[in-house]
Order: sequence, then C-alpha cells, then structure tokens
Amino acid sequence: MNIRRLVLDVDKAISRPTILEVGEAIEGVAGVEGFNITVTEIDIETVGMNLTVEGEKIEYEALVEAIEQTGAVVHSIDQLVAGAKTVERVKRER
Amino acid sequence: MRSLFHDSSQVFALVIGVTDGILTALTLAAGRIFESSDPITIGLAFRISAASSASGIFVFFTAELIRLRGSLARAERQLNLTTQGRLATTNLGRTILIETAIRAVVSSTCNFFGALIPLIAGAIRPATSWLAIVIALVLLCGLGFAAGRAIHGNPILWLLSLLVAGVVLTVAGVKFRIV
Repeated sequence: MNIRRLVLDVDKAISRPTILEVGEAIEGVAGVEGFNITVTEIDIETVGMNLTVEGEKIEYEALVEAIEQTGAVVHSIDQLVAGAKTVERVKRER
Repeated sequence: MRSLFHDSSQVFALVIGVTDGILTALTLAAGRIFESSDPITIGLAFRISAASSASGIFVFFTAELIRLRGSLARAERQLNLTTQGRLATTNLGRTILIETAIRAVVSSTCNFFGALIPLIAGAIRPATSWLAIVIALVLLCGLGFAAGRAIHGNPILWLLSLLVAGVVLTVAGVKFRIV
C-alpha cells in the first residue's frame, strides 16, 4: 500500500524525549517528505501531540518504530491517506 | 551540549560530591588532627580523598540510576503503557545510563577534591593541622550559603545547617578516631 499521509496521536513524557528528538527520528524514516508535530495537550507529566506525516510509500512500521525508539508512544492512527492519489476527507452532509 | 553550570542535574552532582567529600574528610581525619601526635600527611590526605571518592561514585551512581529509572516507570504509567520497562528499552534507557555515569564521575571528582583541599591544607603545615578542619567548615559554609541563594531559600539557615553538620561529624570523627 502506498501510504501518502498518516495522522497519528502521539504522547510523550514532559521532560524527554524532546519534540526535536522525535522530529529527527521521523525525518530518517523512508518515504517521509515532510511532517508536522503539533502539541494538543499538556498534562502535569505528559504531552499529547498530533503528528501529520506526508510522503510517498511511507513505511508505517518503520515510522512507529522510530517514534517509539525515542521514548514517545503512538496511541492511534487518526487518519490514513493512501493509494495512487491523495484523497481528502469529504464531510457527509444530510 | 549544555554547559556544566547550566545543567541543574550536574550542579546537583557537584554539590553532593563536594559536600560528601568534605564531611567524609572531617569524619575520617578529625580524630587524627585533634587526638593524635602524628600529623596528617599528604599521602594520607590522598588516601582519604580516594576512599571517599571511590565510595561516593557507587553510592551516587546507584541512587541516581534508581531515581531516573523511577521517573521512566512513572512516565510509563502516565502514558498508559501496558508493558513495564518498555521505555527503558528505548533510547531513553541508554541516555539515562550515560547521563548517570557522567554525573557519577562529576560527583566523584568533586568528592575527591572536596576531601583533598582541606586535608592538604592541614598536611602542608603539620603544626597547624587544625587548619584542615577550619577550611572544611568554611567550605561547607560557603557551599551552604551558595545553595541557599541558588534555590531562593534562606542562605544563613543553609550555611548554619551545613556548619552544624560539619561540627557534628567532626566531633564524631574525634570520638571514633578512625585513622
């Protein structure tokens, strides 16, 4: 499957790893052309982040492995875009 | 890499090392200084400092590793990880081990010089070897004052607390007459 975009729910402890360390790990994954890490929640000891990764033939397993090797945790896949072309989400209207 | 004095954990290692070194020197050498006709020699000063430093490195390494691994275990619970010890297998585990080793070396080196400086002062002039105790207590006062200011506490209270600790261990050293 040609994964073009992944939106992941990623959490990490407050003190470490730093967001830069997580970013460096993501950058090294095959297929990743660009990414965005946005902090969505800061708790007393944890930071919740929304991670959007775009590219061509992104290796999901390698991506999760790289993120988790830094000490951050992937909780869920919130969006997956794959195939020969990028298909944006269409809101249903009734 | 952050500089030594901008890293609070390195300062922690430094303060623990110096304090431990001075207090160990006082405990071990006070009996010799006050109760014995043999003055402290430079060789003895180095031996006491080396013993204090060697003991300190293991104590610090163990305590610091347990503290940092404990913080990983707490983070695992906060991150809802079901597998215990998972974070320790990531880069964080290796980073913590390296940081602990570096801090232990910093602490041990400070321990060595914290013990050596007052003892050498006493060994250089045997007639006034009590100077070692005075210098050790003055160093403790300076350390206490600096620590009190650094943490925005009461510097005089910190100074007096470390001074009292130094005097108590000096008295203990005189009673025990260890070397």
